[in-house]
Amino acid sequence: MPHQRTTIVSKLQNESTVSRCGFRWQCLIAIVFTLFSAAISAQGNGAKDLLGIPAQRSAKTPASLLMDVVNNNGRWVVVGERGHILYSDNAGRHWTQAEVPVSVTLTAVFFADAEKGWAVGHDAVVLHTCDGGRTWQKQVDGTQINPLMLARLHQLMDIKSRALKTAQKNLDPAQQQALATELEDLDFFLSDVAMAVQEGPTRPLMDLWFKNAREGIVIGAYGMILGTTDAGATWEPLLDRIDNPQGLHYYGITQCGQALFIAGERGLLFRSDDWGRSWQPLKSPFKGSFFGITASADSRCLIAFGLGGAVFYSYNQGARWSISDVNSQASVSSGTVLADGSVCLASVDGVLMRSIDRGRTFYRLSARLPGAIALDGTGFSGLVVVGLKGVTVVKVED
Amino acid sequence: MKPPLIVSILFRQRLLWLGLFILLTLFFSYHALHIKPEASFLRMIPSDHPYIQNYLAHQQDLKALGNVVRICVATTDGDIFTAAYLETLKQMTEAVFFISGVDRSALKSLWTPQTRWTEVSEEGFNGGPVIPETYNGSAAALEQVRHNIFKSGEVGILVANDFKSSMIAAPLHDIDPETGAPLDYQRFSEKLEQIRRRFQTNTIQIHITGFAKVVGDLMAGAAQVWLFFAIAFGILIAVLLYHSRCVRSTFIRALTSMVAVIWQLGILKLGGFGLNPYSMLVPFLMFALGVSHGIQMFNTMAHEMISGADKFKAAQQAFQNNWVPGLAALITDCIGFATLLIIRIGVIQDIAVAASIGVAVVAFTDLMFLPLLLSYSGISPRTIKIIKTRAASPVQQPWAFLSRFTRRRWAAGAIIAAALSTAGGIYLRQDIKTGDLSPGAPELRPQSRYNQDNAYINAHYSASSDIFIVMVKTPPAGNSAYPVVVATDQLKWRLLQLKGVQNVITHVDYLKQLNSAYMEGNLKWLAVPRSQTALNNMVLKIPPDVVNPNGALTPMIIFLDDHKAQTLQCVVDAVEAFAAQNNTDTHQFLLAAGNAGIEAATNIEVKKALSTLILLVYSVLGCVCLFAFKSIRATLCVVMPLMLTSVLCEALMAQADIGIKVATLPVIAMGVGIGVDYGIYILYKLLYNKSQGYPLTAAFYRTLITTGRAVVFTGLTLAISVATWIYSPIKFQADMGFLLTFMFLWNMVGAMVLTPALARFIYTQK
Repeated sequence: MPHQRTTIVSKLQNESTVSRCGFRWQCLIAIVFTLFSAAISAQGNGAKDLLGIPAQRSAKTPASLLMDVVNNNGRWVVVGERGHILYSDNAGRHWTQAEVPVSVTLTAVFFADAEKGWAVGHDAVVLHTCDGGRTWQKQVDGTQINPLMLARLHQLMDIKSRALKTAQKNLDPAQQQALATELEDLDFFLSDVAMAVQEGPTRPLMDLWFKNAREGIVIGAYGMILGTTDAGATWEPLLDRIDNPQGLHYYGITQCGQALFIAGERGLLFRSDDWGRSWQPLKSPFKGSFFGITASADSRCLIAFGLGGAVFYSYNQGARWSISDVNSQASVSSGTVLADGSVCLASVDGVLMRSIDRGRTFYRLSARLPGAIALDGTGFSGLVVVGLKGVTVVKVED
Repeated sequence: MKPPLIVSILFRQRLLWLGLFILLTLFFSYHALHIKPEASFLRMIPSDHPYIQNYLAHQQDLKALGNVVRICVATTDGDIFTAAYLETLKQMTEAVFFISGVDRSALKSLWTPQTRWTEVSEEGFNGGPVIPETYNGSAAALEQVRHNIFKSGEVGILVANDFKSSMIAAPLHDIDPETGAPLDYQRFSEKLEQIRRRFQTNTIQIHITGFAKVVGDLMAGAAQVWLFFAIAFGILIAVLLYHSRCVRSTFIRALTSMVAVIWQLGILKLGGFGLNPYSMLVPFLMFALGVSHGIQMFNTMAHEMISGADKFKAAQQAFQNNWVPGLAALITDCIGFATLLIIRIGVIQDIAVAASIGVAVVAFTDLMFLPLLLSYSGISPRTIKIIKTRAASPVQQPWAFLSRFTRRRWAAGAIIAAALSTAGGIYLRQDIKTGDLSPGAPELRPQSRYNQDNAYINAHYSASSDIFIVMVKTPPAGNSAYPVVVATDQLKWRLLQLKGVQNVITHVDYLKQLNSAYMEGNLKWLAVPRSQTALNNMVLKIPPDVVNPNGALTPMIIFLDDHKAQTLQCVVDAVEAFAAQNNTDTHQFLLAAGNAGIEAATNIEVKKALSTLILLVYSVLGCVCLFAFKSIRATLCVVMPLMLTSVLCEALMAQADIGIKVATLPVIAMGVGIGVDYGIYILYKLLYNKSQGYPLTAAFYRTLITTGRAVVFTGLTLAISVATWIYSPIKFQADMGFLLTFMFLWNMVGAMVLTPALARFIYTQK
């Protein structure tokens, strides 16, 4: 069964039978429909936008849907549904809810140092904190990111079109052919992003990584990837730095030694050796989707995981991958490498797994937390796991 | 002295009247036999309340949620993963399938094809029936079933959390689609009991819940009312016999009171009314009322016969003496009952109508028919002798004792005691609650079979039985509009903050899950997609029992810990506040459906009605007293003891955990309305005796030995007739019986003790 997507017109690109003309029509219909429903919703004068509603404080937040957790030198910070961000300085015994200006679902959080951190989420929202997670400000969201992406694609189209003209002049058929294909890809991508611009901030950011308190990268659905060098004041799409013409989803980004890695939909794997300025595709061991990627602190072990219990490890910076023995059919949603070097994974059916042989084989922990989405080490032989039922601390037994 | 016109009309044509009464009785008996107990859900709720109006307007759209019977099949032998258990379940599913009234296409158990497991993989959705076609009862097949159940998401819903039971969920047709006949709840419930009897064994336990079962049990409980009636009848005859020692007049009085009940039922049937479990109380009251008026009639007649009158003259005189005060008392009762009409809840209005008809009927049967019959039968000479000796004895002990309450010291003591009780009552009544307080079906007793079944299911499954539904109203297909989706989700979160809210299920939850499912089950996609195109597509994939296919009315299902008034009010307040901020021209959040939602509306209406009702009842009684005595002082003497009773009744309700509800509201009007008779009779006679020149204590003593005796018997007969209800299997009937018994007895004490005590201080100017 093909992916049942509705808005991702770029997927149609794979099916060569779809004509350009048909595609344009679909775009047009989609846009007209969206404008129509926007008009309907505009009639309701009470139309609320989650990007404009501050997150509500509630005692129930620690037990609500949470999607990421990070142990930032003893302060645990979790993010999740309805703009919830919580932090705890006493190993999860007590949680304080942060001030957050939006109510959208947040998917990932990252700290560059003790004070400065970023969180990303649905509607492509990027939040920033300068006080270790107590208060957050919105830096950007999909309403700005989509036009940025579109402008960048137009720019690239121009460049490639000019290059094509040059190639035509130079009578270089090989280059001409290559450029024509690239242009066609770009055109698809551009139409897709153009539709997103019409529809509003529909697309989520899924993960982020910061080199320091100024330079970082956010990644997300439909090939969304942007970088900043000024602590998030401005964002630049990195579309020309990475070869993802189909606009597949990026799900995870991690640093391993001096290299960066991105994992995503349909086995996407990229490596960057220049902190994200350029990305090289890796030979992927997997046709299904990776939901994330993690690396050990000593940079010797890289673990990518995802759909249907797929877990792969690489000891050579992604050059070669081997399949891990996990004995599970459930998708693995999150992984982390603990201080002792053991690898821990959480799968959606709630099984927690641990490997003490650097990812080759995993055994199951006794705790079971259905709907686990993310986990991190507690710093003292334990895991802090978040998911559908909120946050839970689990002891890792040897 | 020439008898008044009405007396001569009645007694000159005795045979003609008698024949007419007998013919009417036969006519009404025929119709009374056809009266049916009914339990109409709609009549038990305040159908004019805006919440109920909302519910009724959208009842069709909420059907899938509504009328479902859940049959829980539990095994005490291991778990459900045995071939024997699944075989029993299969047979039961088939048996339920064939009960008429079951919506067969929507019947659900582990064996029905729509019970499926699904799994998301990189190929998309996989799925199949939980019990596969290849199932053969082998260990491997059972293991497969266990595996599928885990993947089906039915644990806690169709399968118990402890795997010791599973459900057969049978949605019902309210109207049979083939015959167009409404569902016969009593027959349906009986069919379920047959299944229970057939399949229940030492190892298989069956628990059944659902509205249809509640109604069925209510009807079955109501059928036992005849037993209570028989018991009350027996006790009252014993009391009459003891009081009069005259078999023939006792028989005649019981007969005329029975005739009153027959007339009343016949008239109700002819008027298109049935007898609901609430108005069933009324025939009891009418019977007792008839008996008590019969006592008055008998007393007067006996005294006339002692004075030497023949039976015809005595009966005529009894009628002549009694028809005015009797009619006045009945009219007072009637007005008391009629105040109930202001409460816009069907069953309470039914009580008002039934009681008013009943009172009118008693005026005919016990004021007219009875003296006519007595004029033929007379009273046995032995009885006359007994009464004669009784009247001749100089001081009759209980009455002499009671008459002391007209002395200054005793009166002061009584009044201080009453004031203290009032203060205590006011203090204790602070805890009074609104609505039903016990878990499960509040109509039935906590230890009833139904509530035990319900408790079992509550303990072993995840979904609560107290469901409050908020209706999200939009234009057709508007429930997927992004602003509606966002607002619904926000309301959900607000509700989850409330104490007593266990869980809230909305269509938005499904949209989030679908969003994630479409993205290969990646949980980070578990959010509302902002794309309207995506929302419009996804909403079509939501199961039809969660959203209405036309997308114009979408239920938000709120599961509550209980249905206490406070819990319900919290939800109502939160939703109202949210609706005020978020309702627009295109989408509205409407209250309320679900058992808890309807109860919330009922509570609001009942609470509002209570103060109005008390105010109205007392104003009406005040007016009647003022009219009867033309004196404010007399009015105070009569009404103040009643107020004490009202306060104490509420204190009792608070302490006995009986809430203010549909069943207890009429008690307040009836208790006060009937109670006022006593005071009026006593004070009337007291003032009369006083005007004859007796000092207060002597005047009261004379009142006591005549009217007082009758009042005590009236109070007792009324109390006995309702007291049998305390043993009713229907909880609210028991509550009504308990409170009315208290009120009738206490009103009697008030009239016998407090009225004269107050009179001592109010009439002091001499």
